[in-house]
Amino acid sequence: MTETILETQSLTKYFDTNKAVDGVSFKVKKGEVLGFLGPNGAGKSTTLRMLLGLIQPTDGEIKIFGRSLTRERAFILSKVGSLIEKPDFYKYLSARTNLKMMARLSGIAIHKSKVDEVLEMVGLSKRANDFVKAYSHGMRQRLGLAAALIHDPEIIILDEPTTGLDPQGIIDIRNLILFLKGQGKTIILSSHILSEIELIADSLIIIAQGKVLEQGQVSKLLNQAERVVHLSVDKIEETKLLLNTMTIQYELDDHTNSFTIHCSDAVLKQVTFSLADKQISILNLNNSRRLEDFFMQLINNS
Amino acid sequence: MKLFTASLYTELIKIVAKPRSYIGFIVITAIVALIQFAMWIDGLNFINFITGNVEQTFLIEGKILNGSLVTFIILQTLIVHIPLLIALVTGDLISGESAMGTLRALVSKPISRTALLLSKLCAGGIYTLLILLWLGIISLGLAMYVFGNGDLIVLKSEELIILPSDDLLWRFFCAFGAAFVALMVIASLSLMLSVFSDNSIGPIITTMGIIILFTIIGTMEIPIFDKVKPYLFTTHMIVWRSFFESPVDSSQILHSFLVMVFHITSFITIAIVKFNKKDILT
Repeated sequence: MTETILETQSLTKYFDTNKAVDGVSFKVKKGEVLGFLGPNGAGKSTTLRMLLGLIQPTDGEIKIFGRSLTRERAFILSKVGSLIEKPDFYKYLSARTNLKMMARLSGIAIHKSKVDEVLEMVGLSKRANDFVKAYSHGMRQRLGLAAALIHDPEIIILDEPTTGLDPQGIIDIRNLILFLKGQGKTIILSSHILSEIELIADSLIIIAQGKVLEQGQVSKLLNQAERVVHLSVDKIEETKLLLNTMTIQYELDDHTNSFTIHCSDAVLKQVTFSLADKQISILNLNNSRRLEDFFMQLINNS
Repeated sequence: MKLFTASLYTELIKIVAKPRSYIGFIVITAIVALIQFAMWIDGLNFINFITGNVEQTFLIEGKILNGSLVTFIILQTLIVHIPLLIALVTGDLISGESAMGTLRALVSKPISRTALLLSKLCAGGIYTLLILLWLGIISLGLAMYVFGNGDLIVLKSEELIILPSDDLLWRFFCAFGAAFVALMVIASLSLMLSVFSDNSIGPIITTMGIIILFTIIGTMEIPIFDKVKPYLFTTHMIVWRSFFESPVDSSQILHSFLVMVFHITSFITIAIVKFNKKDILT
């Protein structure tokens, strides 16, 4: 059984009277990538900041490596790397100096070549001696990742690491995360790009209004979700009638004559049998269980 | 301790790299050069103006306008303004990081918040010391070179003190030492205010405001203020002048020193308590 590396119990945070995080409990297993999802203002960043000791929880407990964050903060944080939202650096210093400073404060002896290695990893080695003020947003984001990795942490917490990156940058970051996952790192990843999370994450937590709505393995959660079916047929009117008779809600795209149906596996089976029974030919059938649909469904229901 | 040293080192790198750190050195250099130039051109008239009444009573022999007097005048002039230059750097130590967003990177490192804050205070202390050393070098060193050595005549409202030249160097050293303690009060005050703020301008302006307010209260001869004056740190910040009295009032100096240390300790304690509880939201 894989060991639990991070655990929160009833994590709660009030800002004055506003409850930003409401009894959030979850576990992260060693070596897994956990997708942390939620709409804006759901309490994701507050939770991630609590994991890093940036925000003091009003109630609840955080255990990392089996130790309490409150009691053994220094030990824990020496093994955790993070990029929280937009990374900021000393603009009047070079990227290399910024990284060296972060390395010194990590409390671990870091070889000088490690700085070059990390800069190379994030694709900044050619601009390493430039002042950060000359960096684009995407370059700062990459430097933020380098700062998170400089001390070779066991746990990496990434809050919106692909914000502001171009498509190539997003692919590079995705590959880097997969590379780190391959190295056995535990990664907690918050992102609004759900397709990215779907590709990378092993498990998911979805929160809204400070509460956990759903958590579990990505594959299991998506199996629970309704399918999104795109259906093209030769007889539009008959199909409309059939779907209405079966009380199935649908959307019809007038341009492509394609029906979109949200339904379970059992209902989909029933629809295809009924279409065959009515001698309606299926010209095209596309069905998927996408994280985006699952996420929207959960958020709307909540 | 290893992390404290690492943090102190990085703080010093930041101070050295920040352009605003040099404002203090440039301003001090400009003012000292200006005063020395003015004294070199028109110093005798200035001296005659000041000692006019005295010369009607005493016969003064020797060179009054010398390096010791010029340094003393510079100290009198600058000691009010240097705190503002110190606040410019120390008031930015936490709030500046908060405004830039770099504070969260520091606080999510294994170093404790207390050690982080103290390393920033130490860096601010080293900066203050360097400012004072620079002031000492260019005021005392340059004045001695340009105007030569000599006895120092200190004119007070009720007395005239003549301090022999061979009895001055230790007084200047002690005066600079007392000024350092006084400036550390300002450094710790602005650092404390810096913890409460998320923008870098607020603590600097507030520090300046407090100094101006306390100085006004200290100089106004209104009986109700007399009860407050002994507790204001600004009252004790001018203790360096006591080293140019004869005999030196050591009990007064010790009292002022203790009041200033009390203020430094209080400001740092408040800063540590607040900083340890502060949620980093920026």
